[in-house]
Amino acid sequence: MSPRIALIVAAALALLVTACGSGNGGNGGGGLPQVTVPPGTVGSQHVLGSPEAPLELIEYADFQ
Amino acid sequence: MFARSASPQLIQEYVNTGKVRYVFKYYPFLGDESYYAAEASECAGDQGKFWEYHDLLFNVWQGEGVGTFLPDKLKTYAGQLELDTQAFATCLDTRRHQFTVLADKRDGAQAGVKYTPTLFLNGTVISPVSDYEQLKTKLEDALAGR
Repeated sequence: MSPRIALIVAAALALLVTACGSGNGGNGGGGLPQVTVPPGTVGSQHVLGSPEAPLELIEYADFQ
Repeated sequence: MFARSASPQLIQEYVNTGKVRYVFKYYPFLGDESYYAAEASECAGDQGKFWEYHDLLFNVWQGEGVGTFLPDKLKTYAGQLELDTQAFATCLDTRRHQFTVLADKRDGAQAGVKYTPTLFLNGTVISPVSDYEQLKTKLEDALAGR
């Protein structure tokens, strides 16, 4: 492969990688549209147990 | 996975006894079905059944990207829990809670989450935790001030 062709191939691959990695914050390149979280948006509020409990355990999970 | 294997015992032995406050957050990163499932859970929460729906999703899990958490399936699960399926479908189809879910993911990323499940105990990462016994040891150590 000539240097010129190698450069073109490398550029094409870089574009492909960028495109695949840009879906919805890195969601695997699926079909959901990209969105940006508006500043100040609050996350979910699912809590079990007493606010007086000495320990707080936070779990970040993916259902899959 | 932590939630499937350890949560029931954790809740019974530590949450219900006032020792631990347990907070669940979304960190969807394995594909579109992860986002659908998270948003659907919020829709179930709108009808007061977040935890029931959360448990159901972990129980029906079959693998990554196998179609278990596509919107039509998620609506079926809502029916199984006797939710208002029309309201649920509208919620899910309009993606009412996408920003809530993404805000969790943003917060998690800022806190250093890179995989799931990631567990924070009083603000410090304690995962990976392989099973309930290992988690229990960490909790007991923390309660004892070790």
